[in-house]
Amino acid sequence: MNYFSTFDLPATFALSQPQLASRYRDLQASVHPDRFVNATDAEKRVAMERAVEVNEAFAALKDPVRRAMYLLSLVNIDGLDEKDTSMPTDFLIEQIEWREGLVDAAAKEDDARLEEMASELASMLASLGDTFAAAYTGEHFKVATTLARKMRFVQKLIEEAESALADLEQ
Amino acid sequence: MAFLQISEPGESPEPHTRRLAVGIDLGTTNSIVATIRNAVPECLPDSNGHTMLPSAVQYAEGGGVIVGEEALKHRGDDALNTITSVKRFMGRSVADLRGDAEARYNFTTPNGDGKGSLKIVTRQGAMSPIEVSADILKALKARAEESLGGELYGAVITVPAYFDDAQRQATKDAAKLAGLNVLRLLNEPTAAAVAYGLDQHAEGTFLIYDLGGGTFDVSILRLSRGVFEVLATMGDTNLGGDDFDAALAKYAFDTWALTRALSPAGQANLLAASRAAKEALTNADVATIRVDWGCGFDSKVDVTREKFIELTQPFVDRTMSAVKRTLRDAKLKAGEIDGVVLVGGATRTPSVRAALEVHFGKPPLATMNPDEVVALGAAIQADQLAGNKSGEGESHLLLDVIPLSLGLETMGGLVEKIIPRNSTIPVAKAQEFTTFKDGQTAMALHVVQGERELVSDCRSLARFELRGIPPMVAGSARIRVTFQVDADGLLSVSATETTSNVRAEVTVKPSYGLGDGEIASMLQSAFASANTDMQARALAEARVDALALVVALANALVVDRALLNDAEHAALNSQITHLKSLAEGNDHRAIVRASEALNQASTDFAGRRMDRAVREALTGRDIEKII
Repeated sequence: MNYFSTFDLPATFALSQPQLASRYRDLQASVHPDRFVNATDAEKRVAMERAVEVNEAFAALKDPVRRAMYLLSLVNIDGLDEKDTSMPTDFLIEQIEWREGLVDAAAKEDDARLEEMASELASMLASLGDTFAAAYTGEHFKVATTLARKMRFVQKLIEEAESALADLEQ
Repeated sequence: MAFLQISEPGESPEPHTRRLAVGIDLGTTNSIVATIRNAVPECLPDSNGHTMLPSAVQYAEGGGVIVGEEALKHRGDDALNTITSVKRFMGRSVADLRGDAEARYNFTTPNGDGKGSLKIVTRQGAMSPIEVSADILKALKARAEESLGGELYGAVITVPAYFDDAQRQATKDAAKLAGLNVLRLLNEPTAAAVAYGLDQHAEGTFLIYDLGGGTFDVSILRLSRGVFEVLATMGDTNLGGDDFDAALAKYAFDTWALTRALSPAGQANLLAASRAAKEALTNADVATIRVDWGCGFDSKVDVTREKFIELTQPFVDRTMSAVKRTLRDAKLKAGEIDGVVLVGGATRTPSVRAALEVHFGKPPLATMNPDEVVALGAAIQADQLAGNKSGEGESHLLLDVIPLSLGLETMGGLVEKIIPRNSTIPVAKAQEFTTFKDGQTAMALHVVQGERELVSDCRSLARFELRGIPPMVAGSARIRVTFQVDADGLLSVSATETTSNVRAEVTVKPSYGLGDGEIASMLQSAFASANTDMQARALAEARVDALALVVALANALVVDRALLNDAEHAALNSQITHLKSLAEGNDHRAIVRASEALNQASTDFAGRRMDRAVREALTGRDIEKII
């Protein structure tokens, strides 16, 4: 049973998020332990295991980076393999510039700039996702792996921007 | 415990006896018990018609324990033995105490060394916050049993969403000590959302702003077709209406330029006067704080509404910054929130409502009593978890989250997060670790909770050791650590060395909780029950559980006969018959063993039934879509 078949959805990157969320709720409504208060202990145990699985599958599929990494794992590629971390130099330089930009905006307490950067990064993540989807569907798995890694970098930057913004709100 | 009615296997069982279940809001300043009567949730009043029980306990001269309004009267004249706001001390150590709380009571620790759970010294001995809370819960249990005319089957107890594992465990221990069967620990804002959502038939995305006496929570939920899904939660377990009172008291104290620190009694009187002024300021433009110090000496000061707003602004700002962060965690903008629901007495403060209206561009919703909505939601959930709802159509489902990340200490005092905050429960995650030195045979695991990267900045929950690892080269052992959080939000951790299968397991019972043995001995001394009574009770419970299992399974065998072949069907039927005959006997251990065996034997069948339900859930969805 893989995460996609759990929701009876095709193993593609381009998932409809509302459809995924709605199937998640339907599934939990039928497997959640709270539905089995009058059931046998065996059924309660099974319900608990299924509810955990459904939560895990939903968490993995709703996040674009985890979804991409999971799709790669289905074709036996470890996108997080630490032995193979080569990334294009221009991309790495771009990352460093973004990071410096974030640190600078945070130091200046420039929340408008941070918001702006977070939203630019979000569209960058979305467009990387579109390219990943095409590469994966076309079975260009090497390209797809590099794209998934790029997505992971960009997501980290988004998290940094969000956490800088959160700190400013304290 | 309620007894179940049994029908012949194969016949559809009659609706069983309705079980008495309550929801309890165990609050910092007030507690409430509610239940479902005639399909309507309602708070149960005391003989004076008051639904709110002040969360105050006086350990009186002569051994009496006085709870509620009567206890509160002695906050001035018997301050050290009259405990209020005990919720602030739940799951906390002396080192966690700060500010004026320290001045209120004499604290001690179990071994007097300042370590471990704190205790409050009273004339009846040192009381743990768990015991004080249990005394409040006992009063509510007695009220409910008198009002409902029977023994309670169980209770849902609410906790602040931002309570950590230690505070949750302490609350559960208090309920057990009060003799309550805990059906669920439920997050307060989630309980409020249930009551509000079902009452108003609300659908959409709601933010629950819950400012109680001593705790603050904000949760964002999506309400869709009876499913209540928590998207994100944030809070502060040390922020509430009490802080507004304290700010007013400090203002008065500074204005009067009193030269020496107040006695506990003086402080209690000043706080009470400040609270009265705060409540008056909800509607009035000016109020007076007046304290009679006795001996014909008194002090008073006027406070305008503007002054009050100025004094409490820092607290309101803190809540609004949590609101913004929760929106960020849920990846939502203020404009995407369909409604802001107010919970907790302190949300009556006009400046709180004003701040929310500015941020969300619309006034918050205050259609339900903010003091009662949590208990009402808990009662609705208790009714469902007691099994009083049969039809799928009328039941709802809660999908809640853990508020704080759970992790393990790794090399250098750093935290490796295993389960991130806002993960939907129940949840389980496993991670592999390895040994640091050649030939290492044991590994110390330190479980922590919090968002910071350094262990020293997080809350320590438990330490345990995995021993008996076969000596290997550093880095070659594979230690798989599994974190599991149940529907109460409580954590258990196990560790296994996978190449040798050495196993260690703990349910996280931090140094702040009580051991099961401790609870048992406290219960025993409380009831002073004879051994035979205990055995009779054990037998009765084993029988009820066995017969409930027989009924449920026999029914499932009829409904899903098609999922079993003849041999499997016959095997389960014969075990059912065996358990039924044992249940007529007096050997409670044999009944328990046979029940366990039958549960074990029916696990495959349960799995197949679940798979069928899942298929139906997914197909049902597609049909709905086509139509």
